[in-house]
This record gives sequence, structure tokens and C-alpha cells, in this order.
Amino acid sequence: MFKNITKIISIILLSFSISTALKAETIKVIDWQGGVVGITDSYAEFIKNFEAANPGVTVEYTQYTVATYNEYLKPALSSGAGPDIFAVYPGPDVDDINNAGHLVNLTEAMDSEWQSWLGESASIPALSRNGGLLMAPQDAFTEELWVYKDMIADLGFELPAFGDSYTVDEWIEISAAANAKGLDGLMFGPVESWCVWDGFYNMANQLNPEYPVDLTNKALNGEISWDRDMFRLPLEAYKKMHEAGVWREDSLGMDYQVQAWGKWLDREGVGIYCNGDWFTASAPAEHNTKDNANIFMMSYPKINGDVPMTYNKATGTNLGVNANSDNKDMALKFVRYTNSPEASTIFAKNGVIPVALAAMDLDILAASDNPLFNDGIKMLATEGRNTEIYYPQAEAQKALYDGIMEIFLGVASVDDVINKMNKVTGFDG
Amino acid sequence: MNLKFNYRTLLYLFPALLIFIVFNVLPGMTSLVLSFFEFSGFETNLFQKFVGWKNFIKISNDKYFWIALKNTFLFVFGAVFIQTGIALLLAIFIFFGNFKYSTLIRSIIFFPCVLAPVSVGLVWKKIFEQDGVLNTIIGLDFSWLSSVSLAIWLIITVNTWQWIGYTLVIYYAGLQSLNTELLEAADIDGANWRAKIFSIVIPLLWPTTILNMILNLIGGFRAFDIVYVLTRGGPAHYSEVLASYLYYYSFAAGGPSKMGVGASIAFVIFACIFSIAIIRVIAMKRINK
Repeated sequence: MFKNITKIISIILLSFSISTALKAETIKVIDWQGGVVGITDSYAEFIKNFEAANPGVTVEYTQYTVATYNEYLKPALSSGAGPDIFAVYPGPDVDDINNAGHLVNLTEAMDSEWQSWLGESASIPALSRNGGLLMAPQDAFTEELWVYKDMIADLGFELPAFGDSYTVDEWIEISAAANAKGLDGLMFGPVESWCVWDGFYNMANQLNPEYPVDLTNKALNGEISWDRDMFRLPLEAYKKMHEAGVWREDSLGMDYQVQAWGKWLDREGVGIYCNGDWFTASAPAEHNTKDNANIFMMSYPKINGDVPMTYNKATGTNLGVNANSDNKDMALKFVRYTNSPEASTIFAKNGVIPVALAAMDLDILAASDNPLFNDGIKMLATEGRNTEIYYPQAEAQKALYDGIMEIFLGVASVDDVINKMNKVTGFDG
Repeated sequence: MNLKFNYRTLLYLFPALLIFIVFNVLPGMTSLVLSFFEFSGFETNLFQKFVGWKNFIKISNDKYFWIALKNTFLFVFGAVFIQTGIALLLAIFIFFGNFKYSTLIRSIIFFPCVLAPVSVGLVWKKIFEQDGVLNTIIGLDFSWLSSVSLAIWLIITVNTWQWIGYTLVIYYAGLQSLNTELLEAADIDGANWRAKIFSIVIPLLWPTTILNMILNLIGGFRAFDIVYVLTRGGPAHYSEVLASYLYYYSFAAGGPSKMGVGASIAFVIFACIFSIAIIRVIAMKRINK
């Protein structure tokens, strides 16, 4: 009897030791890029290469969608048993996660080679706090509107030059022509709040009289009033486009990633609003070949023909290393690898624009078989104003989103929203 | 009372009680306490920053909270009165109609209950889309789910459609257990069908009605999935119910990420259900007296 008990206890202890030993060699990585083929394929290759170079190490990579990501991440981090590496949305979440002590300061952990790969991306303000980079950016993108060239031609319009975009009024004209043929102008998914904010920030930045000073950030902080043209005119432009039917009324209940994108793939609309380079690998293949490059990318609508070209260039997946991880060193090693020239080449091969462009030959990159990927590289290199899209002010951004949606619904005026923004941000005049 | 018997009863109850305490009582109490703290959901120490009534003041100043509260009561009204009422009429109609295919009719009405609410939501979303089935049939170009005033009523309609079969089946079971001698006696006395239904059947079904109303009331307050799938609380929070607004505050991508505020909304849901439960207990005691 005693022998049997001893045996059972020994087996349990042995199993526990084995599982602990195995656990120590397993790196868990999560992000929200579910459905983004280029990212999925790239990480599959990263993991294969990394595991081959580090025998005994296993990398478990799990993807969630944007909508469900926090349902997993919050309980995981607050329980103290979160993943070793996780993507962080560079908005309000950064401060919440950082203040809770979950993020490793990557700047302190970076060697000079890693820094040289990232170049300027090693110090992106939205990804940093107190001078330290908290998340390692993976992919770079420009937010764009994508349009089918043949549909624009069928409607009797001409495309703007590469890097330029249509004005709000031109979009209204194109959409009227599209509506007459039973099509939509733009597919729009405003249920995802960033689709609403980012266009607004772009249009506001077009009119920013003090660029490169970020007046939007000042307004979100309540340092300046919202009652100025650079905020009023974009709100009016949104109202005008909605009322003119640039997007269908039931867009207000659509998300971008599934519904709007799906309808655009079905060619129900000429263009898709607030799309971007992250989908270069997921674009409809038949419209994105060298022989038939039928998709054109352009920035957000211009408020009028006189404003400077303004882009939203940013990073997509941004990986943080869990400060409470038992495998912190190995996790850092994996994140470092994702920024390496080898990983960047894999990203590019899979149609994802790597953020670590400093170590890449842009001419070679921009000569791939994927026309949209090549255009994405060109767009990133196009000069113009750049717009910050990741702000930490959660309450103010919620109010802005709700306000714009209420303008769409006709239950609030532009003045109502401006007054509300002044109130929420605490601007005291 | 035998003390030994009580110990044994407790022992038998212990496993279920333990599960109930660990998975219901403790999370419920934690959520209640959390409503007095500022908590984003990422901190390992949940109870770090005590903020008193701040979360409750915040929701009381939030117009969308009041919209969500109003919608929740509309939803509960729909579930308790509309769903129960229609189910009662249908059950009586099918039971006394003596239809040849009454089992098939009941099965068809019950069928949506076995479907996942997410699937039901997705199908109805397709029906209500601007280029969806409904507009194609009636020849309109109207965005049903983007209507501030209609969205919540469409959600209530879909919910009623899905769960009416469940209420009907309970009523049907109640009808089958009725003492038919009373109806036969009423026939002999020359009572017409209206008198039999309203003076005999419906009063005799009162306990079943109470059961259905309570089940639908609890279901109404817990409504989340059908709202989330059909409208995600939109447009602009106008079809939000308390549970979906709680989710928005706590987890939604691009949302405020304030689980403390979410916990205070959960407390409001609890307070509503608890108040109604107390009223019910008092009412039942009076009725029994």
C-alpha cells in the first residue's frame, strides 16, 4: 500500500516537473490579426525558423479578431498569467497596460543592431512612454481608400494621380453616379470606431494651421477649443457625405473588417473607406495581378482642392513583451527576430509591409508580383502631411465617435458635437 | 427537526453549493465591490483605487446608459407581456383547434428555440439589411437597423420570434394538465367559447403564466447576444441594453475600457432583478393568503 502511494506521488511529481520544464520553453504569442492572411502566413514562417534556431523552444501563436481580443487579454493579464508576447492597441490601452506593470521597456532591452533595423520606428511616440519603446512595431501601413479602377472608368470619372485623392465633393459626384447604377460610392464600417476617428483626424490635419504641431491632440486634451474650422469642417464634410449617400444608410450598423470589406469584395461599392495596406495580401487576386492591377489606392477625401496631401501612416501589429513572463528573455529574442531583415523579407514575401524598412532595399521590395504591395511601399515613401491616429484620450474619443454617429443619424448638429467635445475634454475657454 | 438529518442534507448539498458559491456568489460579490473601484481590466490588483460612487455618478450622467435602461425595460416588457401573451393565444388556439398536424405546427414554432441566438441574429440581420430580403419583398430602400426609433423594436420582434415556441410549449403542457371536467361542466351549463377561455382556461393557467413571465423576465434582463449580433447596440448606442452597454464599457474594441463602470452597470441589472424578485415574493404571499 505504502509503496503504491509512493509510486503515485512520484509519478505526479515527475509529471509536474516535466510539464513545468516544457512550459518554461513555450512562448505564447497573441494578436488581433485574425483574417489578415499575410500576417498569419508570416508568423507561421517566423515560428518555424525561430524554433529551428532555438531547439527545445516552442512558440504558440494565437490570433483573435479585433472585436474579441480584449475578452481574452484582460482576464489573462489581470490574472497574472498572460501570454509572453501580446499585441497592444496603441490607443488608451497602452497606458492602462503599462500602468498595470505588464510591459517591458524594449528600449532598455534593445541592442544596437535591433535599433538599426527599426530605424526611426524604434522611437514612435504612440508606442513609447517616458522615452522607452513599449511595443515593437511589426508592419507599416498607410490608411487608404481602395477603389476599383474599372468601376471608376465605367462611371465616367478619372482617377487622381498616384498619391493624390478625390475631394469630398468629387466623392459626392462619383457616389451619385454609382447610386444611379445601383451601386454604392464607398463601403463604410463605422461600427468599428477607428473607421470614424481616423478619417476625421486626417481631414482635421489637412486644415491644421500649425502643422506639424498636433492640434488634434491639444484639443483632445482640452488645451484648445473644438470650435475652429479644422474640426468644424471635417464634421460638416462627414455630414455632407452621409446625407449625399456616399455610403448607404445601413452602413451605420456595419463593421469594416467583415461586412464593409465583404461587400466591397462583392463589388457592391466603388471604393472602401478606411482600408489600408494590411490587406494587400487579402485583396481579390483577380483584380491584383501585374496584368490586371485593377485596384487604386488613395488617401482620405480632401476637404477641398487646396489642402495639402495628408496621409495616415502608422504601424499595425505592435508587440509588447509581458513583464511578468517567466520566459522574458526568450520572448524578447522572438520579438527581436520579428524585426530582423530575415523576418522583414518574410513579411514582404507575404504581402505585408515590414516596419523595419531601415534594413531593406526599397527598390527590391517595391518590385514584387503584388501591385498593391508595391503601391503601398510607394505610398509610404510619398511626401505629405502625416496624421497621428493613436491617441490615449479614451473619454474624448468616445464622445467624438458618438457625436459623429449622432450627426449621421440626424439627432445632433455639428454645433452640438463641438459643444459636447469642449465639455468632455474640459476646455474652459 | 432532526439535527443529524440536517448535517447529512448539508453534506449532500455541499458539491452543488460549492459550485454555486465559487461560480456565482463570489464573482457576483467581486463585481459588486468592483463597481466602487477604478479598474480598466488589465490590473492584477483589482481593488487598487477606491472611487466611491464615482462609477455610478458617471453612468447616471451618461445619456446612453438611460437609453440602455429604457431599452432593457422595453425588452423585458416585450418578453414578459408580448411574448407570453402571443404564446398563450397560440397555445390555446392549437390545443383547442384539434388540428390534424398540431404536433408539426408546435414543432415549427418551437424550432427557432434550438438555434443559437448568434445564428438567428445573423439571419435576421440579412433580412433587415438595406438590400436584404425584407426590402426586396416590399420594394423599399429603408435601413431598418439604422433607425434610432425602430432598432430596439426589431430586436424585440426577433427575440419574440425565437423564444415564443419555448413559452408556448410550457403553456401547452399546462393545458394538457387542465381538468377537462370543468370545461365539460361549462359546456353543460351552456357557456360559450369566450367564457370558457377567459373564465376557466386562462385563470386555471395562471401558475403557468407566472412561471412563463418569470422565465421571460429573467431572460429579458440577461439579453445580450441577439442585441450584439443584430446591431452591436447601435446605431450610436440607440439599441443598447444594459448587458450590451456593460460589455461596451468593459471589453469593446475602441471602447472606454472601464470595467469598474461596467461593474456598476452590472449592479444596476442585479438591483432591477432583485427588486422584481422581492415584489414577486411579496405578491405571491398576498395571493396565497
